[in-house]
Amino acid sequence: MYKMRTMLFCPANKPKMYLNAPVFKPDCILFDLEDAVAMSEKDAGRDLLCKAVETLEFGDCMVFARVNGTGTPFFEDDVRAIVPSGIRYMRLAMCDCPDDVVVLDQLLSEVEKECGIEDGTVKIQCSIETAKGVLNARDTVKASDRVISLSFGAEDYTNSMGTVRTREGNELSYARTYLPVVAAEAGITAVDTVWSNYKDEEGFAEEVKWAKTLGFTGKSCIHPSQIKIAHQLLSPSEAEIEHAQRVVDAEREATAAGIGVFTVDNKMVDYPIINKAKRILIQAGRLEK
Amino acid sequence: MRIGEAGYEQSQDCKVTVKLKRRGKLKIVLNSKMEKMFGDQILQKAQEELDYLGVKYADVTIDDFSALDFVIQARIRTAVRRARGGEQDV
Amino acid sequence: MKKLQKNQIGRDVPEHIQQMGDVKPYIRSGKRKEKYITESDKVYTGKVVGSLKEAIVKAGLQDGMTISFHHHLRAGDMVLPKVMEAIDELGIKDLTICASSLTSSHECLIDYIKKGVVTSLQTSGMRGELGKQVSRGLLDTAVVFRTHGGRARAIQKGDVTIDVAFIAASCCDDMGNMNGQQGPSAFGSMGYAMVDARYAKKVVAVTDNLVDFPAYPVSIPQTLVDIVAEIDQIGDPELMGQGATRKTKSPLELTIAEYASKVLIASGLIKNGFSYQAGTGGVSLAVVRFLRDYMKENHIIGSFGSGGITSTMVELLNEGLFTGLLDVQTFDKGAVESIRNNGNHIEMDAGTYADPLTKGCVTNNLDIMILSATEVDVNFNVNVLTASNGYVMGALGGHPDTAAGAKLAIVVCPLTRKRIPIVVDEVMTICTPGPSVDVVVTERGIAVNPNNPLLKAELVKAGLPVVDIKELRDMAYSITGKPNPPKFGENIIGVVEYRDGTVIDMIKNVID
Repeated sequence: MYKMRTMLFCPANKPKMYLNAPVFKPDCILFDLEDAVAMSEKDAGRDLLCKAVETLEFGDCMVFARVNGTGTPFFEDDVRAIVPSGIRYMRLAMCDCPDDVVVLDQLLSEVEKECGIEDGTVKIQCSIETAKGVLNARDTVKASDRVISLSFGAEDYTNSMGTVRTREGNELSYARTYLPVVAAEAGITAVDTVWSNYKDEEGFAEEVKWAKTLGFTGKSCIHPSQIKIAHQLLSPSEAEIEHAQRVVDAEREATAAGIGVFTVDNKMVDYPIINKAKRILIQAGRLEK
Repeated sequence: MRIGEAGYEQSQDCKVTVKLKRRGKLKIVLNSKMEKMFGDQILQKAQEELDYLGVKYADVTIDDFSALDFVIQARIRTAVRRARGGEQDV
Repeated sequence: MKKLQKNQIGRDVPEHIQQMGDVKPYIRSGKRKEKYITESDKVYTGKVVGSLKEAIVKAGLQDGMTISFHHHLRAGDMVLPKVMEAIDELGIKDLTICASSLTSSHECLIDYIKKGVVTSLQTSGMRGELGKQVSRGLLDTAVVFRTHGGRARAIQKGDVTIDVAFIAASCCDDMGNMNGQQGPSAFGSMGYAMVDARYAKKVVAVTDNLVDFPAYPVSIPQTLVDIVAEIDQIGDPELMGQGATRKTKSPLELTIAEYASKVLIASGLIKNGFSYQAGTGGVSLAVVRFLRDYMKENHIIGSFGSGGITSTMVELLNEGLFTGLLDVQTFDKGAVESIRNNGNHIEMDAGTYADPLTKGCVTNNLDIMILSATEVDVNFNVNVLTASNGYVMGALGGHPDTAAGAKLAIVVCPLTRKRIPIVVDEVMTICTPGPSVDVVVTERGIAVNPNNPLLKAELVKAGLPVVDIKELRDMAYSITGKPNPPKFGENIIGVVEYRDGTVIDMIKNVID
């Protein structure tokens, strides 16, 4: 499980955001080569992204590139250009079926070999954004060991469903309920779709709360102002962290003393509780994954 | 003469025009408000990038709008590739 | 028996008494001639003139004299250009202008300097083309740059003698009682001009709104005013508050502001009765908004906010978060309305505000000051006057005064602007000396003056990203590269006076 509470979208062909994105301290920065870059500018976006990654510091942020889908003429060029520049995380747009991931996985292995990088270094986030993608998601995310996360893309999904996005988001409920289950089964991180109207901070907060309830642990963000809100809502509370720390400490002591069963706050602690505590500490940045 | 352009006339970006030639010299013209403060640096970074790309004979114009070096180098890279017809990857 | 003398009204009075020495016998014949009832029903005060030219002649302006202006109308000021035009038409030359500051509305000075009408400038700062030309050596004399407090001190102490003060007033009566709060060109506080009025040899009120006596409130009283000149317009209210009170939406500026507000809270100074001054500009005003939330949440009421006042500070006053506002300069329409209507929004003259040699100035009682910067260096010195290309493009304002006076002086600035590094090895011009600056807040880190180890410990404890200022500089240079310094000539185009009258730095001419 990765700490990916926020993924800040930055158009790959706009110089300005490269410098500033890390200042807002998102967990992940997502440089977008897909929808945010015009067809005629894909080469320029790629060059800018590569130069930026070679030159700039991004602090603690995980740097993702959203690459164009496997069916596009840009897919291979994207991957071949950005891996040597240092990108280690990719969001694959339009992951409709396991084959899409397999194609990327094989290309990555090839490029990694060419660059002298260890096989499997580059990780994949599957972007699920069609009806087909949703239904195939369970197999798709298992198509490669590189897959660390899935993300949900509501714009294209509603398109594929013939529906439109609303503020309430009922049209997304099936996919939103299903995808976190897929992620949980595969042991990967589920990241929710973007909230486009960044001026509506209240609506954004409501949506993050709902996504959290359903099992998402991250949110794609299109504006820096969303990061603080998402972090607040998606981080465990002080009380949760404190309790989790005591559970983990107690487990360590119990293990050292050779005791099988132990209690915290007069409650018996078993494996689900220990695992939950560890997950909270990982989210809080207090425990290495 | 093969011509390639890249970048935008926007703040913190730059527009680069590359005219590849068969012989002659490598000429770089920089138009920038930052010229006095950063002209040497920008020209040096441009030269490095053109050397890396193997460009020996060309007229290169950089219309700079306070771009950082990495932006200027990226725009040069794109413009050169476009001038070369896009096929020859760099 | 004492020797007596007969006075004009026919009484004997002594020629000499101990308390007076020689006694002056009464010689006047009665009340002033213009006071007798005449056919004209208008009382002639003798002060009102119909044109600036008349005013200038009446004030006795001569070649080589010093005249003063205030900049309360900022970019909308029409008075300086109109007065200068009249002076030029009268053929008067070789003048010194002692202005509280010069703005983009004062570019006409370039021509008057070229013509020899103006040969010397004293100001808080200058901008635009005027700054550029002065930097290139337009004047043969060095500009004296003074802080707002320093100017009040220099005038009061006699370092500069103002022969004629031209004071724009948006409301004035025929005796010269005036204020800036009423009328179509209302601009609020007359703080800077109040000092000129007290010490200038001749005072000319320039107004586009001559009202029936008595004008009220009285910011500058009739006792100080020699001449009242009526003109058709003193300023453009639309241009007065330009940029000063912008509410920023820039995520970068909001990030800086949020860090700054956390510094304030961690410092422990935000408690009942604290005093505060916000600069203008997006970051500083955003800090005020964060501060306001914190004060409300924690039921804290401050004593006073001071300095240049904006609508943002007025909101806090109206919400009862501050007891009063002390206003030396009013920045926007909302604040003008407030000073006009709210008794707790108090006009303050520049001496009371910041003159370090008075028996008490407000800046020295400040708890917190938020400052901007054009550049700040690894020794915490701040430049607010010259750009990285060497040209004068800013103003000292109250920056050095408030930094020295406040318990906590926080500089807020981005690490870089476009390609320009803001945290640097050495600032171009030292305006505010490093020892008076406590904290520098940027979007990428916070540096604390090593003089203040306790504060540093508090900020670290609060989990703020505290770094050495040299690290900030390194980060800035790693992004932009280190710029080539501009080429300077050997002529001194300006000296920077510190608030106490000592000279802290000088500015040389830029060579293109």
